[in-house]
Amino acid sequence: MSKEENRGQWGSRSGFILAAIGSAIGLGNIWRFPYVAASNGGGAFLIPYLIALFTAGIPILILEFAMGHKIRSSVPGVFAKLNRKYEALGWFQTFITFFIATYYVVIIGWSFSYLFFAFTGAWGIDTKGFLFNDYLQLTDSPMNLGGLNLKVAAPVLLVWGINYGVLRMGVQNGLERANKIFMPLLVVALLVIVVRGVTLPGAMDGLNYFFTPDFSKLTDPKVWLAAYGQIFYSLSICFSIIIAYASYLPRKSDIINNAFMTGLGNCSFSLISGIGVFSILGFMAQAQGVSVAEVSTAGVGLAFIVFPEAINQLPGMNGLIGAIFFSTLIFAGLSSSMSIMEAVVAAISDKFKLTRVQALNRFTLAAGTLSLLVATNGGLYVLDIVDYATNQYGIVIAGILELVILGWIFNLESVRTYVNELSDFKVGKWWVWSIKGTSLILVVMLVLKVKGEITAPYGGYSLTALGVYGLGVMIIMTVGAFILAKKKGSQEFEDKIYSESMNNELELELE
Amino acid sequence: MNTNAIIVAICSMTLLWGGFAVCLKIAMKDEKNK
Repeated sequence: MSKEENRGQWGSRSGFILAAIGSAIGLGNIWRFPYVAASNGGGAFLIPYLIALFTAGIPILILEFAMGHKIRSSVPGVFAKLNRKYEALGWFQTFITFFIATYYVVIIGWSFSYLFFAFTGAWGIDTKGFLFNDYLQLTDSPMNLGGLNLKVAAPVLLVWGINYGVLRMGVQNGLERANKIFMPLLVVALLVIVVRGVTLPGAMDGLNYFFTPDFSKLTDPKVWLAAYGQIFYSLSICFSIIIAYASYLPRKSDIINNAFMTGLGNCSFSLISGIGVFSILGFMAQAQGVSVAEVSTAGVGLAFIVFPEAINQLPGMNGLIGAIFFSTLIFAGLSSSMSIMEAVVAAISDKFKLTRVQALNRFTLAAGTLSLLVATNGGLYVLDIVDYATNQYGIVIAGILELVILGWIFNLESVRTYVNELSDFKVGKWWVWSIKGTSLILVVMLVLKVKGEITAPYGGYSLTALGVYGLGVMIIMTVGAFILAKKKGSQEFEDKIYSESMNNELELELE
Repeated sequence: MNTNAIIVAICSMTLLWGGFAVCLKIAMKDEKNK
């Protein structure tokens, strides 16, 4: 069997949609979106957020679905097919997913630990002290990693085991089946949290804080950039995942409708998460006699400090509700981590003379070993800086380059014709301009980020720490991308990708 | 909840979930026709 036949294919449309939505829905939908929305105009934020979804998120999903579907290769192959010089960009995006995998599994590992702690009540009254001193045993600086924290390493190995098992079973039997189990469980778990949350005293204060629109914020460009940033980071776009998933689509696939379902499904989930999170924060604020703004936070602080505190104050079923909350993080995290890993495994096995399992073994060994660095006592610092570098710089730079190549150099009209021929409803010229416009928005985001960095380096870390873990990772990704692009590929890759490069446009050939 | 918050909540939920439901209906119709 040739590699092309061996790549695998989604068994059903619903399987693909669930996997794509599962990839998009991650920890950020639960712990980032509600805070970003509430602190950028509340309900008014939803206006730029929805505009960003329809003018950037869904258009890029359509573009990436089309490229993966047409070329049937992971991202290095897609860019190499356009022009061999662009292959390095594909590897750069693959490196981003590689590094994200190394710390993402650790957060899922923490969630497994906290699922257990929810029943035992191990975090006690001082949830902050428990997280940093008892559980993570955090060192005083990023340059002091301490030793391997076995309380963290053990669940991390479990997470690697689950991901490895799923990916080893292939696209249809592994990824598709896992998402068909995880996604309904995730929705049910979230709905339980929402129902419990909105029936608590004080919940309405939280929902008022989340939804009440402050329209004056709409004149602030930062709010618009926050909306575009939220959409950009939450849809798994511009860092190899969507292209890899789309490469397993059958030839006859409705690209546009699939993209709309993925984008709308992801954002609908975010909104429900916001209701769950803020109703519980409203309850907690009332119980403590403070304002909702005072307990409102995002990220690790929200999930592992504020939520355990809120769970402590629940009138009943504390352990069960706590366990269900951390289950939502686990299901959302696993459905995303599988897609992150698939993008890397597909890239390696597509280019080199390796089977899927051989590529998976090599990837798991390399990324698994590196993830143990994040499971050390100083691992939280490493996670924070690597996450910042890969997301705020890596993905934005990769996005700009991708959209410049595909939007401004490649014949985007041919892609529009291609997707319109395959889909039930069509996109007009607005789609082309959305792609071009988003590239400019990303440039503005990057410039503002660099400007801010000069005046105040990220997180108050020392320049040495930012240099080692932030700049260091960026250099490895860039140099590594060029090295892998130069490496000789398998005969099949040479024939399929290098020998038949594209004439700057997508041709519609349906078998 | 105040009136403005309720209006925003209903409108955004309708747009997102309603949009998703319409796309899903089209997809299911497609699957049936195959």
